[in-house]
Amino acid sequence: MIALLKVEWIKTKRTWLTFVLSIGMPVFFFLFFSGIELSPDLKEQKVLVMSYMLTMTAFSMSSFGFFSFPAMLVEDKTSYWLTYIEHSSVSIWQYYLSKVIRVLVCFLLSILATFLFGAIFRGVTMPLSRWLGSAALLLLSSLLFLAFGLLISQMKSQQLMTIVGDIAFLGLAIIGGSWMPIETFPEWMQKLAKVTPIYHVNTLVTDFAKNAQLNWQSLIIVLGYAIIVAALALMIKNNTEVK
Amino acid sequence: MITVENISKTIKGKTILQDISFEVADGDCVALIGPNGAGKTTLMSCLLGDLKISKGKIVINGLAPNSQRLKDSVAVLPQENRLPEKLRVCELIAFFKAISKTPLTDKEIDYILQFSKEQKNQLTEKLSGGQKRLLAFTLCLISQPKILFLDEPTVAMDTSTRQHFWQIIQSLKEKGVTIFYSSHYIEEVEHTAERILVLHHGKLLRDTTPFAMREAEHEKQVTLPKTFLSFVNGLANGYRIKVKNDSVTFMTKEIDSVWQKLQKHGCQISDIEIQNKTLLNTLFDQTQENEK
Repeated sequence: MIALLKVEWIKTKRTWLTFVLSIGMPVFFFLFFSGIELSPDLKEQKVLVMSYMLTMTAFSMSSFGFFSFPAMLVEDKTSYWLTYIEHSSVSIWQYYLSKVIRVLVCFLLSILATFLFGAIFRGVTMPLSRWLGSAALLLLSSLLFLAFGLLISQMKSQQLMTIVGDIAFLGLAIIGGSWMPIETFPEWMQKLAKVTPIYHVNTLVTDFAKNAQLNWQSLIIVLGYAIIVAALALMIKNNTEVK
Repeated sequence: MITVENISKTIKGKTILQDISFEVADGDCVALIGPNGAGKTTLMSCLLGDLKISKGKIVINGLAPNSQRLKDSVAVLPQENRLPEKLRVCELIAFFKAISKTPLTDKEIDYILQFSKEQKNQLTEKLSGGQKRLLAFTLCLISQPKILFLDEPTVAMDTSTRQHFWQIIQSLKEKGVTIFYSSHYIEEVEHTAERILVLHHGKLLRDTTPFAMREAEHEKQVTLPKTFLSFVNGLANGYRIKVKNDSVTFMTKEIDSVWQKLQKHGCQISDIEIQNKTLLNTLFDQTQENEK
């Protein structure tokens, strides 16, 4: 397992630019938009900036789920790394665990970076328990991003994978209210937003950060989506693999 | 011990392998040959447990081919000459050493790989085709497997690398490693394998030895000037007649009687060209034609 993690570390080091961009881009967007006056009321402005920090963290994490994670899996398949692993004494679950650990570390760094920028440059303040709770809920929600990544990695063409990843990544984030509150949307779009998984990730995390309450409905919907998407990915995987 | 009993494999309604049975004893070196599309890679994948067989039974050392308990003792060199990317040669070797219970020593690895210090520091994607193949082969050997499956192992290797490769195989044979490999090169099969399995259209045509194979077939290929075409067409014991520019070629199993008739027809010794053709020759020729 340590040998597998060492390989993942080396590969991350060799693709550091992608890694920095995946974390840096949402942080930049957060800093840019949170600098704009979102509300004339100072108290409301603070809440909006905090919400924006959390939704941008989720956005940053989803980029690992929608792009980095499926790209890693496909690359391992095409470069025969997976074949070597399958025929070695390493169990296949250890291989997948090493991948998940690599992505979880990316998620953690993404959370850490956006939270630090939020606290230092935008003066976001919360009790420690809410910082930690929000981070924990974001990590729990990351299961959804991993499930989407697994589904995307089942696509046969890498070109299609990138296009679908792009559309899903940006589309779900915009409709789900990561960029702007859904209250600013027309009514029909608000209805649409409320069925998207990202909306519930955002609601789950921002509700907790605002009033320390767990939104059970959103949590169940997020986990439900994660289970359905993962099951769909595994079903496709089993059907397409010639055995 | 590998036991294959009446196995068949069907993929999307197409029969790829049909009723194949054979055994490979510990320490045997067995070559699998056949033209492209004969089912060699599919058979290899079934033996490795990568593909499920539709019928029959495969047992390796008393276990199912996909058993996790076999992973320590079985190694495979896939047909495709690809290596994990974004890793240096030394990093890849370190990984395989770390996951092996009894890995080869650095000295033993260096002897097989014969890479310079600079080459060991190179990223795998920077290596030449032959170097990649040799590295992939070395990675297979790091865990000191008891059974080796090699799918067209010498593809992309130049002559000297190939010679070095077969020397390593020879030393593995002396150590009692069971080797099962497929090949497209007649000389590799004739000189290295103790047994040959001939696969054609998914069926096992022969389970034989190089010596028996050479002795069993007495088919001759005869080439004559095109002026003998009408005579060749009238021959009862000539077949597979082919006309090329100014010559005509045919096969026969009764060369003595054909030569007597040809002499009567005015054929000189200088007009005729005769070649021995074994089943092995025919199959390799067919493979080369397919590749063209």
